[in-house]
Amino acid sequence: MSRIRANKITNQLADGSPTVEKGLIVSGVTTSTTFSGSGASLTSIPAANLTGTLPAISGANLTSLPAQATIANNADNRVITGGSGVNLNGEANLTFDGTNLDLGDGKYVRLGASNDFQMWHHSGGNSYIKETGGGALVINADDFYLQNNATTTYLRTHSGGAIDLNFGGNKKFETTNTGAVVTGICTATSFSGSGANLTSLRANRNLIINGDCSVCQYRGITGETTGVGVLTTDRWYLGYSGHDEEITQEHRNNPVSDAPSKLGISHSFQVKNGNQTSTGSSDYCRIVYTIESQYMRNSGWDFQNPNSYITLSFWCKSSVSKNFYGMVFCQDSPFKQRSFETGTLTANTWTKVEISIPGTSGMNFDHDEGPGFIIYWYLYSPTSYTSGNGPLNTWMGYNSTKFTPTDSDAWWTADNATFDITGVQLEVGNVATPFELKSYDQNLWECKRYYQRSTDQNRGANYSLETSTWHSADGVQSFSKHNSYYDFKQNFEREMRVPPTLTIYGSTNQGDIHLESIAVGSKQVDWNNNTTEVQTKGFLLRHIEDQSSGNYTSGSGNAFGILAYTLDAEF
Amino acid sequence: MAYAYKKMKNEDGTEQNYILAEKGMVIPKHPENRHYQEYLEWVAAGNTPAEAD
Repeated sequence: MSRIRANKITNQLADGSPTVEKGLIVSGVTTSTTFSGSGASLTSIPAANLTGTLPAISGANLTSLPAQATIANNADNRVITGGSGVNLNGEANLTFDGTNLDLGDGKYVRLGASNDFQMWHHSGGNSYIKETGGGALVINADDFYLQNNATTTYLRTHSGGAIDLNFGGNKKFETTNTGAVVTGICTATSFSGSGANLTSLRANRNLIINGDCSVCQYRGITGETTGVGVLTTDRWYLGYSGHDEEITQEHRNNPVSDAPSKLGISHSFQVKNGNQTSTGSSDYCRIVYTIESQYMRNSGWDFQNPNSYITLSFWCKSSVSKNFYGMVFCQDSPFKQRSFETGTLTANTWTKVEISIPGTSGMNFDHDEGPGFIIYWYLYSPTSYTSGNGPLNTWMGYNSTKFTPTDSDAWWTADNATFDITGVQLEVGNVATPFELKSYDQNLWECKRYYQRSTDQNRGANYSLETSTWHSADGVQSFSKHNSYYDFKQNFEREMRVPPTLTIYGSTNQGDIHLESIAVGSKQVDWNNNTTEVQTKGFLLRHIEDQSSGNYTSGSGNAFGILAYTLDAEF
Repeated sequence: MAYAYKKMKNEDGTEQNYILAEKGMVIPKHPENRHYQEYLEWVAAGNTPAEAD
């Protein structure tokens, strides 16, 4: 063996590394700044000496892995793959410090030995929390909220014991230590228990008289007529102008199958169009309802407060599909007007319309029986009223060119088109409550402030008084003999709004009274030269004398005669 | 609605506070009576009621 001893070995030119062609065996420690080349044959490298980053390599050929693997950071936090290879078992508390723990559709979180409690998201879109073991699902929290995705609260419980139920985030129901508080309208099929402590009950909340159109003193139970005014259904006024053919108004008895009828509102006020062959700028047709000023003044509506509301609701039906406009008008100075709309009605289909109307600064209602609040429903609003294309649902001062937005003449130009209205309610508050049903007698009584008549509804048109159709207690009155004349005094059934127009029927001459008397025989009585007085509580006819002879000296005493009359104190 | 109007007089010949219209209508002269309002419009239009008999 030869040996070379040297402190430094370089190549021949002493400017690089020497080349060892057949390998090099080193006994002892080899020290270098770096090693390069394949390390394929390196063996027995101590694990403790392996440091640095593992290369990204495939583990496809790894073999002899143990059946149970433990991923451990320390003895208390280990996740172990179970013996079957399909379960992941936690041995102790499991802390997940990641961002999301994702379970796909139909993947359950199951708790309990029998998986009694389950949470999952169904592939159909819903998510579920379920207790399947027959036990209770208990949620313990001092303050608990149930909210939608926008964090609007549906339900809230308080640690003190109260529970709130909300609508649109606003509390409507609250339990208290003494019961419950409902904010708003509480509707039920029935209420039971003592109502002894109920306060501020508001009967007669509907400011509309004959809102269900049940009373028709003018023409009996049913009746159809043409003309402008209150001629069929009490308190309901039809106005129209510029027509080529008359428009009809009718008090209708509706079938039980109609939607309002099912709520106890089985009459309506119907307007039926004629054949309008042209449309002029001032042509119009409207339904009008007028409320006395004093009724509005004392209604409880804080009408100068924009945060105080009154709500108009009504049922309507039209043979023509159309968005109908209307207007409310404050008749007391300063005039105020505000339009509204029904929305597009489906032809021949009853629709309930609800309109909340706020108060407005400066509005005024006087303490009198004059017209205060007038509601107009325009079946056709003329262009002269709409040329300014009035704003919708906005209070404004009087402007006759802006009564409503520009209107369609679809109803006006439809021959025999109909429009029905009923179930009309005007009430204080911003919510339309169910229509306040009243008995026919109560409706009739309220209507008699505006119209009364002496005869029953079996009379014909204009209360024709043919003697063959007399009813013994109908239209037959007692007259008092006073010297050679007769007097007649009548108290009204109730006080009327203003001194009414007194109309005597059955005479052949203007204003005459037809006395068909036991005492004096049949006479036409001269109206003139008598003393007449008509006030709000009654009327007096004095000094009634024979038209031809000038007196009734032939009469021997008090007389009976026909005196059929109407009293009209309408607007 | 236009009526033929006629004045009414009391027994002493003075004019009553009422207007007589056709069809036997006695109209009180009250500002809130709608028929009196129509009468005033009728008069304002240049018409004159008949004198009482």
